[in-house]
Amino acid sequence: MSLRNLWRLLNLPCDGITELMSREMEEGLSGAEWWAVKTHALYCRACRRYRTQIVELKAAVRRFGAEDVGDMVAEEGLGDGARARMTQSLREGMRD
Amino acid sequence: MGGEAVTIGRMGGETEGGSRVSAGVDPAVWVEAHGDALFRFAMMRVRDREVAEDLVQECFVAALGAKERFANRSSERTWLVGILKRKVVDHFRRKSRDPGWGEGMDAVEQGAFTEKGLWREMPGKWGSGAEVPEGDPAFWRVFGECLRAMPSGLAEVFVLYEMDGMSGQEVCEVLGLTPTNLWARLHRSRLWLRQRLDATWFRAS
Repeated sequence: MSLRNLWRLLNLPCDGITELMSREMEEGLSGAEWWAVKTHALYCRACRRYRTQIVELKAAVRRFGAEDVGDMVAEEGLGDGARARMTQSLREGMRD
Repeated sequence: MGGEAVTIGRMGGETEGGSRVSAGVDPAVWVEAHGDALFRFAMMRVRDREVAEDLVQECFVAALGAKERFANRSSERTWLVGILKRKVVDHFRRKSRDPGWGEGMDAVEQGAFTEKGLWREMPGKWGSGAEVPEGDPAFWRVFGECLRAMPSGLAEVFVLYEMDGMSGQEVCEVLGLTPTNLWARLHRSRLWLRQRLDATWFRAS
């Protein structure tokens, strides 16, 4: 990596750092990128909070998605029309 | 809420004994026992009532055609959810081919950061420890509302990758994205969702 690029990385503002933090969760970072994130996080509380929060959310969302079928969100169901349509088409399907 | 409790209670009773297709399928029972749950599953992901209902219908029809292959290894519910999941993927695949898909994504970063790339607003103070209230249905309702408002082009990526745990390679294949494009969208979807939850749940509660 050129010095110029390294300098750019180490001076990356929050928007670039958060992008690296996101990528770090999937495929990891290069050594220089990792350092850039580390040093930035030393003095930037906003980005530290951001990282903690997206890591927490990712785990929670994944567990939520894997649950039976989101019975947690119980306030919505099929409309009457759709319910009747489905019953009807299943009944027809059964006859064939 | 009272009516809902009755439904769940009845459902629980039925899936215990009635979760085997081999004894003969009663279509009215399928809709009654799984319809609402499947609908909610689809609705959370596709964010459109009509589309969600259509997908559940497609799921039932496909299940009927494949019922001989239901091997009794899993519950009827799990089996149906598996079919519905594939219907959701097919829907996203079609949707991602629309010319207008994913327009308006760039605004996400401009909303979060100043021109100099600094935070417009300090992220709230939460996240260390178990502060995401996973057991609280109210939280997931708010989450669902946030997700529903997420720009198209980001939400599909988020649902497949984050919620349903599909691999990056598969998501790229389904939505026709390059890996670089996928990571950029994922980053934006997280930025967006975190900000929304911060404002509507964590700061509000």
